[in-house]
Amino acid sequence: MQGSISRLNFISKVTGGILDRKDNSGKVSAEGKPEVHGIKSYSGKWGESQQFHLIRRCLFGATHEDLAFFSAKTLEESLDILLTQSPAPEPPVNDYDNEQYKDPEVPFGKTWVHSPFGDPEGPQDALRVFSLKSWWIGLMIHQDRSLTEKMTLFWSNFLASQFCLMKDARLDYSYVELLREYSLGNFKKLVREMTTNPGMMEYLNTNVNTATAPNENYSRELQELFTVGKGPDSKYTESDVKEAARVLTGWKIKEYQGVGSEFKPEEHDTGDKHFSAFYDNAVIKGRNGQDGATETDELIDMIFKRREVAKYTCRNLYRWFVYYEIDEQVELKVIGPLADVFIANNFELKPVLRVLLGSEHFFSDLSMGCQIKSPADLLIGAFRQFGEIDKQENAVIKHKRWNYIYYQILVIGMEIGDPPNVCGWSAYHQYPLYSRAWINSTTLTKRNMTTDCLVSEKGLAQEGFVSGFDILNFVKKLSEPADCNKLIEESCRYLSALPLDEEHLNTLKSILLSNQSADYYWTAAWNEYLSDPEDEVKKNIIISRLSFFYRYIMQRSEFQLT
Amino acid sequence: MNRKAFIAKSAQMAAVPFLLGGALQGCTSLSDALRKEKQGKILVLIQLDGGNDGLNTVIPLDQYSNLSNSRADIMVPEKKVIALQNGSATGLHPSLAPLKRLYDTGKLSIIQGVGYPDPVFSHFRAIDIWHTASGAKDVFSSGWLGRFLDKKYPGFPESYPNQQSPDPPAIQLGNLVSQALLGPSVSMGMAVDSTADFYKLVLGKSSVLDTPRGRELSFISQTATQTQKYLLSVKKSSEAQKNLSLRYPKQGKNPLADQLKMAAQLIGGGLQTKVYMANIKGFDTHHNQVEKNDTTIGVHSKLLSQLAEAIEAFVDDLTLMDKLDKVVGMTYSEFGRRIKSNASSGTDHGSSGPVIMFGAGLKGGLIGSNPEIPSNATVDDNLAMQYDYRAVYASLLKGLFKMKEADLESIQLKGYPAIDIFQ
Repeated sequence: MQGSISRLNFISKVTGGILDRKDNSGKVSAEGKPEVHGIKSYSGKWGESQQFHLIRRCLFGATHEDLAFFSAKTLEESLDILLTQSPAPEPPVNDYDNEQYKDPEVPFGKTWVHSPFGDPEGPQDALRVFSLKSWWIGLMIHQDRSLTEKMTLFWSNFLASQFCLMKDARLDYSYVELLREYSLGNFKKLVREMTTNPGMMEYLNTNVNTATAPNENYSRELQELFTVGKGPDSKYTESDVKEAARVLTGWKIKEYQGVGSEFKPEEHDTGDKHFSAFYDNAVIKGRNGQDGATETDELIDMIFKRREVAKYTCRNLYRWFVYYEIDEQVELKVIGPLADVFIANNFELKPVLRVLLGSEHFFSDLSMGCQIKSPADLLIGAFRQFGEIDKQENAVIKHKRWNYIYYQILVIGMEIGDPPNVCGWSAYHQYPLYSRAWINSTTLTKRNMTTDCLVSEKGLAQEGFVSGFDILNFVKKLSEPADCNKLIEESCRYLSALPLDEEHLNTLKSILLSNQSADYYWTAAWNEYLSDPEDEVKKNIIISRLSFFYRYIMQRSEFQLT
Repeated sequence: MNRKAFIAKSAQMAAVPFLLGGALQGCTSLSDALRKEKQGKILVLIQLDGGNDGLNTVIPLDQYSNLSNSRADIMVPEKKVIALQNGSATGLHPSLAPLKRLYDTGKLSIIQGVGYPDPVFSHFRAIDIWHTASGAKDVFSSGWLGRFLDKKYPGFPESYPNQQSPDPPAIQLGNLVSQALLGPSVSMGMAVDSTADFYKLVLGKSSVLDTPRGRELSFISQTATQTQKYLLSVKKSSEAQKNLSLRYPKQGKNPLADQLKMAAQLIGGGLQTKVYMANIKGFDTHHNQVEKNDTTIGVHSKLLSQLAEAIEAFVDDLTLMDKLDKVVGMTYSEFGRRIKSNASSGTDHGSSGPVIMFGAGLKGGLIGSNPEIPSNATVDDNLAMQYDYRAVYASLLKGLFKMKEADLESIQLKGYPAIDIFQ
């Protein structure tokens, strides 16, 4: 009988299973299906598997320092830290002036986000977009131990917009700045702010939505994608879309030293707006003058009265942090109760994230190792774990390097800041593939080729910099790099959420030993290298084997999961 | 410039190193007959991992007494050595009887004393030297075959496979793709992991664990199989030809024979792959190289008999498939072993050693002379080099693949004296 096993033992048994060679699906219900845990606070074993799991899902990859840090904390303390918003970063600067082109508005090294947009014919704006994208990559690679970056990326998918359609890098920035500011804040406030964010207003045409020529674009997505969603219980009507669009008339992008928005009463539809039964037949009274702007607040209040908002958002958070499949059990035991927490806390994100990420469900064996890494998870994670091989601090070089990483992530399917459309990446919403959409024969080949190239011995040489993983930096942090067995075991543990099977472990050993059978050949080579780290030949012996070694680990299917 | 166009262009430029051509599936529109016709010469390399004791492989009978002074405890009795001809000064280890049969039919050549100046005694470094074709003091990051194949498959892997080159440039048998196949940017070798994986690849079998991670892992593994660009062409070739030789040992008994058996099947099926790499582990015989009471048996003897058995079956198979005229095989090892045996019935790392070649177009016979053994060799004595291993590589590429001297320059193999290997 399951009941005879103490709960603590049981949990440690099922959650510890991840590192065991045999797959352990945990407790099995009477119907033969594994039991789905709910959102009750997890109080089981807080060991390395749990720590890795939490770090990998909340940050990009798990570094040695991360594990050391969180293993010295309790789960509660860890969640406190992860739920602490990172300080606002300095905005992106002109790091792009070159021989051919100099930004006429902004001196080199100064930020362009508040400057005029003065050179529509030149590459000024495109260069600023590159600057913004590489800045974003840099923030992710150098993230602190906060959910801020993962959540900023989450919002850029959930409240999606596309840089390439906003037509002004300053608008792009205002949008990203808002996502980051509210990444762990209040969802309702975020949606309210987003509604009059100049970037979003440009993207979904709020800027041209006037009393005489209403434009439903934002009004539709506000409901269909950003709040109540398209779930079975989301029964807003076409008329609701039209009426909400009327509420939103009058908002305009304002250009001054940067970008902002303003309300122009003369463009506003002052008539009353009537909503459907889904919204309890609410009426938003038409208002004149600057008061018209408050109709927008009323609209958001009205929408957020629907329970669907909380459920839909929690489903999205679940897909982002746990797994894409939401069956009846998950809906019942996780999504519903989480939505209650969300509503009870007036749409504050921290309480709901704390419950989800500290739940029995999150730490259950079924939730572990089952996420297909997004391209950002794959590469930002690996760059964080290994470190960049090129450490030049020069702003221009850093910009180029991170821009290059941006494109490596793009090539395997994720154009950060430019998802395919307003729905975001299909991995998070498109039935039935969901995150499997990241992997197909083309993208998997490119994933492998990308990691193959990045662990090459000297990195990928580009103009003025190299891009690559610093494998020696990684290896030196292992407990005993001279011991090939420990090197293999620890490397796999850090890099792969799933254990590799025996055959692959043997191959890894063969790689380090060049097919010799005695472990000391590796030990000797490593110690030789340590005795004279500058010696090109000794270093090459180590590096050539290690790059093969890490390439092989990253080529495994297990490495694609987190 | 238009913003979108500019971004698109930059994206394209940055992305080039990773973008593959459209044709991800193996291009199999060539008819089988045409495929077979297009199949050029093929090089099969067998790496003897660990440093083969050349003196216990190709035995200098005329030096037998000097040799007895320094390694009596591990030597094969003189009478048991198989002389290459009646009264010949050179013989083979008794486990190599199958190779003697090939030698007698002119299908086997032995090049004596292959090495390089200032030999290195570290496995890792010596293997890197042999694989990258560098000198003892240089560090090359690409492999010699990788550089050769990069000439034959310019720009690989971009836009491969294609109509002209539908098949992988090189196949690594066993699960570790050799550094020798590393081209200037990517590896030119497709690993056919193991016999089990080979058949999994060909038959498309795998098992699934019914948990979320089990299902996702299985999905990725299946996709990984499909991503193998050359899966279809390899599969097609393996289906087009069965092994014909009855000389192969049972599966799992002789790992090298298992590897060569797969190679034969693919060669027989018309695969246009130019290079196959196989290997056999365990030649690092520091102790108990032989059985104490019978020096003709033991670890080294067993390895040699596996080597000989595998090569003989492979040659037999290719002959029955009428493919032998296309193939040249060669064994190599990172170094030979010391003349003087050590205190534990074994030998320590040494310098040069023999290279064995097999195939139909070879001159056959013995190239080079027996090493000279000092009458009282000490631990510091090593065999002198007669042929630079890079001269062997260069001669192979010239003779088999008709590489010109100018091409050899970019493969870093220019200027080595030609060795008369081919008919």
